[in-house]
Amino acid sequence: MTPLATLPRNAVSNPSVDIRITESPFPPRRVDVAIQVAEGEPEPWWAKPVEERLEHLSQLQNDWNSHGARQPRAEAVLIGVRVIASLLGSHENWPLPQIVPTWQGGLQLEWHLQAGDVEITVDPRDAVWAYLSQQNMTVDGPLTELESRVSEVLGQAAH
Amino acid sequence: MNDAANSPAVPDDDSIGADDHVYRRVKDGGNINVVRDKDGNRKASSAAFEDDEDGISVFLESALTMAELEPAAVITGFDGYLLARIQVGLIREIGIGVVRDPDPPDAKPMPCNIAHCLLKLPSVSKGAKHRLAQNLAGMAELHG
Repeated sequence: MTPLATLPRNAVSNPSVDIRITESPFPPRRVDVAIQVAEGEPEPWWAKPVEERLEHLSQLQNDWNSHGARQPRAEAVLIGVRVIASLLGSHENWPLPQIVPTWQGGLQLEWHLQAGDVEITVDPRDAVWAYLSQQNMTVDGPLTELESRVSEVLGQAAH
Repeated sequence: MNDAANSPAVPDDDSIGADDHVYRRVKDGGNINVVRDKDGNRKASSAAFEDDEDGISVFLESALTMAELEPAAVITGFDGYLLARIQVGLIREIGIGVVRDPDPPDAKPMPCNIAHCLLKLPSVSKGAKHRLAQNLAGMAELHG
């Protein structure tokens, strides 16, 4: 397997998490996504379902939507995991995002909750952008500016 | 939405009636572009309504009928797809135009191509475009 991208441990908010994406060097193309933790560290509770979903999406080929979409970029997967690690961290009862691919080869993380709707777009060529809707209020901006408001909504949905 | 209202008029074909509908192919297999809303109901993700350089590719219901085609013709031969159906009048209300674009040269040859149209978004900020995509996803009824 050929490494497509690796996120250094110190690049994520949760310092005990590494992400490694590898691609089979021979056809048929197969991409593996592995969220790794330091020896002795517990695996984040969200790691398995996120890994499985990202691996599923990473198998998509170009034009997966029949409208000319790009296959998800490895960098988008890395940044997506980084965002999830930052938002969910060790909050074991917070909701998982629904993860969908975007037309440009990015990812979109979505939470549609009673407390509000959150969509976060991850495009490697652009800032990570958050869209938050609550009742009749909508706001959008870089996730770095809205992270606390997003966390508030996710925290309200804790089950 | 205000961004859209304040931007220059978008191309729009007034021969297309407000009570007509358009269909968009949405990739479903494995919930690729389909998500659950807060009540657990399936809905199209806003990611299914991102526009490319030309506009958002859709198929016009009345043109399909004229060609004696069922809406399902839009996803014939496409495995794991649903149809998102939206009323033209609702699309125009949020500042998006609808124009005919039959037989696009880069499309897979299909009988339904005669009904191909493009949704034309106004020139607005990234955030406003995403809001329009969210609106489209919110209006869409999923079929198939």
